[in-house]
Amino acid sequence: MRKITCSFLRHLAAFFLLSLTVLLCASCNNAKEKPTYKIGYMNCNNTEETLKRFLPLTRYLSDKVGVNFVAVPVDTHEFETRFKSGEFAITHTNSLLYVILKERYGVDLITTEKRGQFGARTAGSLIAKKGSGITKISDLKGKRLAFGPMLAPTGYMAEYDLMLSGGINPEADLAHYTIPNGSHKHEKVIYGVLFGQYDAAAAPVLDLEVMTRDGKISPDDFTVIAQGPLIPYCTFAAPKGTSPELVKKVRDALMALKPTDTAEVDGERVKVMKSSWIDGYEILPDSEYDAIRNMAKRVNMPPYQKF
Amino acid sequence: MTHDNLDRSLWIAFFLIVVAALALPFLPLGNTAATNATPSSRANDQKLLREARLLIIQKRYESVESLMKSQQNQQALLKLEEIVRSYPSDPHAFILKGELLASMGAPTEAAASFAQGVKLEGAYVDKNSPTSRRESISHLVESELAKSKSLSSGTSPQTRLNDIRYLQSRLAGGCE
Repeated sequence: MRKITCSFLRHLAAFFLLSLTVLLCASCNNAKEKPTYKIGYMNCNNTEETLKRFLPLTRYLSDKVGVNFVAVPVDTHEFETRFKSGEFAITHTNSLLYVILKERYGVDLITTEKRGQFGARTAGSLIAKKGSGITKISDLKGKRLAFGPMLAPTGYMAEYDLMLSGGINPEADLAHYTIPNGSHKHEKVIYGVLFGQYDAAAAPVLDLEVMTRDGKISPDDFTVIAQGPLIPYCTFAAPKGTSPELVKKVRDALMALKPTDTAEVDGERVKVMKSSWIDGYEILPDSEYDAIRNMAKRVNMPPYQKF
Repeated sequence: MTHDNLDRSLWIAFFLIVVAALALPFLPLGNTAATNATPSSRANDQKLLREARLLIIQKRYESVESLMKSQQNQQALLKLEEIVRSYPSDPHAFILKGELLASMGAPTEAAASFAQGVKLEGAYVDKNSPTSRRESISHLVESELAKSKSLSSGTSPQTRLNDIRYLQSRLAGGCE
């Protein structure tokens, strides 16, 4: 009995020592720092909204890829400068900014975001108030027009291109054109037309769709004078220096994203796609962006601007 | 069993009801034709329902159809979006949206919308249905299948064809 007890105690001690060793090793692995990478998100309206939208997606990517991603909201006009300094491992921008970064720095396309009725593509349109007598592009001569932000592919560039193709030179033929101050420019120009501040506006079809769905506007109140071609929507890309392995993991994680996927933000589990206003992702070839390149050349915009 | 007059009268009433219920099938009610004509009256009911549905569709989507006729596709799409707010699961809205998206150069999204509509109401692929949109669905399926043969790998994933394959099977007579 005494022998058995001693043997048992010895085995028990050995078991505890072994367990302790395993636990220590495990904690060593956890203690090993995950590498940290920054994702630069182009601000759509403002920093606060950008973070609120993309923090869950960033957490989801961190979980799936096994690294520590940090979401960095960046002003559109500062984006290139900050990108040049090598701050970001991944970029999330509008499609025009992607074309600029591709042309000047050779970024690689990861995925294109899907949102709204046209999926991974969207378009710009020119609108006027119903009953204003403006029904076609030529009617814009001598009228007041509002554009969205100057680097917005479907809030500025596409509409400028539409006017040029319709025989209207915005610099010479309009009474004047303006870009509203502050954030939410796309909504501001649409409301501006409905409330008579402008005769016409450059309105992204996605904003018209979302505002209609939300009951903020009715299609009975305005006329879509013209609509541009479908062009790629917001885009994830990677600078040349980002490891191909990391790029592949990010692409796979984005393509695998489902409406039921969640991420933890501030102690709360939120649905990633819903909070990021995303319907999914699509892998488009870079040639899909040629329509944007051609528009930018016609409108004399970066990266092809000539002074 | 019986205690007073009320009990007795209740029992008598109960007995009469049972007798009447048993005798009911044997009584000549003068509308034997109606019972014999049950299948045809059902057919009439279904016909009336179909006509009512057609009238509802006509009235509900009149503005969308007229915008489509005048080639104001984006305006039609927005009008449809507004109508869908009130009737989110009407299959006809999905079908119209599919037609609009197909004509606006978004075949993948058009196929997804057609598939949703057909899943809700199979009559849209039925040749003889008054609401049939078989022709426009077939046209999209054929053109997308032809295009899929020249897809470059690694760009447009094959999952984009899921809705097309589903519509193809429904057009061929497959069921849900």
